[in-house]
Amino acid sequence: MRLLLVEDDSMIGESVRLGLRQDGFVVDWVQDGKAAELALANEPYALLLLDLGLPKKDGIEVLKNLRANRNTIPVLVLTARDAVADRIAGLDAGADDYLVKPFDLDELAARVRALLRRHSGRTESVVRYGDLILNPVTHQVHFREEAIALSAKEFSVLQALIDRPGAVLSRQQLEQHLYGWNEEVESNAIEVHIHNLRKKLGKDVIRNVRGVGYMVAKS
Amino acid sequence: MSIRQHLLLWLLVAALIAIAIAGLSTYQRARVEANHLFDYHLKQIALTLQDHVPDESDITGSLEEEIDYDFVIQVWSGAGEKHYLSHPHKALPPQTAPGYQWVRTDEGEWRTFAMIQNGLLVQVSQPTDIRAQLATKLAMRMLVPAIILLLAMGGLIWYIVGRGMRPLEQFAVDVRASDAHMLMPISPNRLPNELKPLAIALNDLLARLDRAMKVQREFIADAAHELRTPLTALQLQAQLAERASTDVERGVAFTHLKDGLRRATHLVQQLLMLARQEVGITAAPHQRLDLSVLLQNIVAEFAALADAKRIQFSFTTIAPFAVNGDADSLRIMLANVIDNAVRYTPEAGKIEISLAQRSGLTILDVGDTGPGIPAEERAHVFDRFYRLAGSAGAGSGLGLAIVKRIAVNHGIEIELTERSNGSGLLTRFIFPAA
Repeated sequence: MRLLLVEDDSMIGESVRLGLRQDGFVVDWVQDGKAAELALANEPYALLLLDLGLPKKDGIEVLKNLRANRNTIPVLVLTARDAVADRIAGLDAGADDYLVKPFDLDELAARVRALLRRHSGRTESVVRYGDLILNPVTHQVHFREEAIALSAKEFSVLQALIDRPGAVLSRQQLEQHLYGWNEEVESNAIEVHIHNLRKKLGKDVIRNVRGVGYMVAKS
Repeated sequence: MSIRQHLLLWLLVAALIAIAIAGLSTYQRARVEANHLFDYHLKQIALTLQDHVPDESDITGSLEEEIDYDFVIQVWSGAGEKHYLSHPHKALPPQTAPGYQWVRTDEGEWRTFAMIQNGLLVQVSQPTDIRAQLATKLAMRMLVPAIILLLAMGGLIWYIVGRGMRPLEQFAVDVRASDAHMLMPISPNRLPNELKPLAIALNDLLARLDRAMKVQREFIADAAHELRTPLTALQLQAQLAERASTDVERGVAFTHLKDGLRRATHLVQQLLMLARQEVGITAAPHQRLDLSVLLQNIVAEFAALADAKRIQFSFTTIAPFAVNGDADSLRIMLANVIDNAVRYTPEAGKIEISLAQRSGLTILDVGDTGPGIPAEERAHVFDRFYRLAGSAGAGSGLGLAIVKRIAVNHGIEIELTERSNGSGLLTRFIFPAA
């Protein structure tokens, strides 16, 4: 899951990125409102973590523009503004959740997962697909009630595909999903992950649509 | 003692003194009048006896009306023997020379009038206490109604002063109505003229207090808000340190945590420093200082840091430059500005400090070859927690606010411009004439 973090304080930004990465998320980090808009326009993010007091362009403004452009990306506001009026303003501007600084890393990760779950229309915290059960919190995967050990990237590929059953995701889309900026991507990385997943889960789960990409069938 | 009691007491004392003086002078006047009157009377009685000198047979009757005033008639023959006495007394005055006399006997003082008629000495006498009694009676006739009047006046004064004080009580109620959170001005319209200046002065004070408290409230709100950022960073850094599974990860996490702590500590110190300067706790008495000595010490402090960045420090002055101020505050002010200069000047840059005297004012210039401050931002950089775009997290955002506060406390003007060649930053301090 690739997230965009907009935070002007370098210590907080660095820590949040590191913490969320440990929770298995891919985090891109920008430090002002303008850079945030640029990143959002160019990359497919699953969720936006937005500070409000930003240089160049205020967070609320970024949020309003986003919603005015009919972008439905889940937005979690991270801010030091804790007055009720501020929270209301943030939520009314289009935020899905509001977390006041200082916050706990585990709570942040939990809220991110909850927002992603809600956004994909699921109510359960685990993802079920046929005989597969994915747990986004523990990154555990069960296939036919047997625990399967997957690497973080393999888990992410599987999750990306299962999130949109029936849709074909190109190699490039999967790469964007899996890798943040400045991350070296080997040209055959996605193929390697798919190959490993098929080896562990059987050939039928992930289908290769020749020349287009990969998909899981609608169950 | 209340104003009411005070007024009542002193008004009554004054009235009493006035009445006493009036009574005393009435008594004196009455004494003089009575003397004239009774002296005349004495003479008249003596003269009426001219035609008929009384003898023993006249003891009663003819002079009855004179008895009220206790006139005593004595007649002596030429040889000095007693010829007649109107009525006896315990101690009668002796025979005196003709004319008026004051005579003292065992019974008291007497007034006598004697004249020689037909070879006999006729003497009419009267005890003077009759005269005193009469004068006292007259004086009392004036004093008694005055004292009754005085008592009535006392009651009236008590009542009137009480009424007059009522606006004062209302005033107190109005003042009590406003508390620290809502300083309400007091309307001077319905107050008596004497209280209006007090109300206006009080309103002025309340307005100033209100402003001061607003500044203080904003300061606390700002401070609380600003403290969240380093605290958030600390919490996250601590959590990452906790999560670290390898020694390398842990080492990195603790380095970050220490940086975070250093930043939070710095912010708290700066906040404290600003708060002290704002409230004026450190408003130590100003003394005469040599600015160039102060600057030399600060430059020496930063020399190592500047050297590490290969920054060329130049300090030109013709010592000494006397200024008035608190040495500690001025040192903080100058060190903040020089610290900024060292921080923002790139490697191998220049920092130039110069002191000059122009039209009686001492002018200190601190110039650097750093990025400068855009003209439109210069008005804001002295605001609390204002940071230039892109400098987030670099400092507390309080350094220049502290500089400004100290400058204001010392009557120093600060100008921000670029250096003469149009680049970098020039901070100019204009000290008031020492």
